[in-house]
Amino acid sequence: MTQPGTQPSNGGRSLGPLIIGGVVFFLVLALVAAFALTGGGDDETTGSGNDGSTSSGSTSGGNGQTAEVTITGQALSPMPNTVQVTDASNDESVGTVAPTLTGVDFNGETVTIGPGGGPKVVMFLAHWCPHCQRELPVAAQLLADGKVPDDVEVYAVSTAVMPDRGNLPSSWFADESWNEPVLLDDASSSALSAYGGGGFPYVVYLDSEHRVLTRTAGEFGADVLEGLWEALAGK
Amino acid sequence: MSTETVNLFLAFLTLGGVAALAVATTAAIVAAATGARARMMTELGPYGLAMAFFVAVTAVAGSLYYSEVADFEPCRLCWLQRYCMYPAALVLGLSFRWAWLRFVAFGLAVVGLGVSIYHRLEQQFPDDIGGSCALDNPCSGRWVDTFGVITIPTMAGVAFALILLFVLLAHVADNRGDAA
Repeated sequence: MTQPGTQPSNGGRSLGPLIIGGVVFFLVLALVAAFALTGGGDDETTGSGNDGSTSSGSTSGGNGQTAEVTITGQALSPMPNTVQVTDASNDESVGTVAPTLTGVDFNGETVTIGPGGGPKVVMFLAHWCPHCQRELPVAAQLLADGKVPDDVEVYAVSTAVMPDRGNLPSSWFADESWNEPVLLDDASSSALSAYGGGGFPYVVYLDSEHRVLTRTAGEFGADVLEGLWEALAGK
Repeated sequence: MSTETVNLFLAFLTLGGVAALAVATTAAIVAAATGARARMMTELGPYGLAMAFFVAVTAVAGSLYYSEVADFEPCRLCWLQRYCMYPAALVLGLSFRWAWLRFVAFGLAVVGLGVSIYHRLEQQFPDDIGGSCALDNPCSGRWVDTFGVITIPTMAGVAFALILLFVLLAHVADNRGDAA
């Protein structure tokens, strides 16, 4: 077996030191570049997005991607993490009044999702979830095409925020030309919990008195979304 | 050092690995056409195992950083890749003493590369319409997404491919040495 560092048998100049030097140089260059481009400081937030803020009534955090949420009312029953569209036959929350959510959007403007106004679509979306990443532009296009009944209000809730996973919610919603209100959930995803969130995307359909009509978990695409939105008209 | 810095550093290493794979493939084609293979094997071959070992140790270190320092919880497919990479690092270290162990490392890298490719495809093309993301830790989720393409399985896949390349290089060079 040939040993590392052995001189080549053909009498030419060995590439070994050159290779080792090149690897070391590249490592140093990569490290310096990484430090220079990121600042290199310690994390303000790490891991699962737990940045010290808590549920409703707490301070905001998450690099501006999460914020305090006030929740009023009885929480909905948890929905299992399976792709489904619920109705009264399989969802005990159908017919019950959903909690009122009060918080802010990315600009710090107050957003309230509660009784009053017309029927509502409340979409809970996670920025790191590929299904949400595909569903958001579909919903945005339906809205842009006027495929939502006039009396129906559509809200997005940015939840389950994990800044380390990239695709930060603030830029994500802007990039997808989402023009409807966005409520920021807190770092503990309290709003999602209060609404009994299942698998993402998680959508709760409410009538004008804020009672649950149906809930969906999973990605469904334009046709199903449009049908569910149309069914809300006049509710 | 922040996680963002580590992400970028490892992304640069991944890009370097991709470049090395591209250069090696091109060199092999050129060498086959020009007959320069013998010199290339003689020059690079003796460092093959050392470079494979270095790649594996770096991959293990990155993996441990993400799970133990950055608190990124490994998903099911991440664990499968770990089951290949961690023993591969150990086996490559031992293969300096027992050369036949390189074949074990080669096998582990083949399996690991397969899992990495499957995992990356899972991220790029999640389940069709009707799929959903679990609240906890889906394999289709991306803890790291640098430059919009370099995710953790991308890094692992490049590392496995480099290990394959370097082990192959060492093996061919040794065979040529034995034949001589």
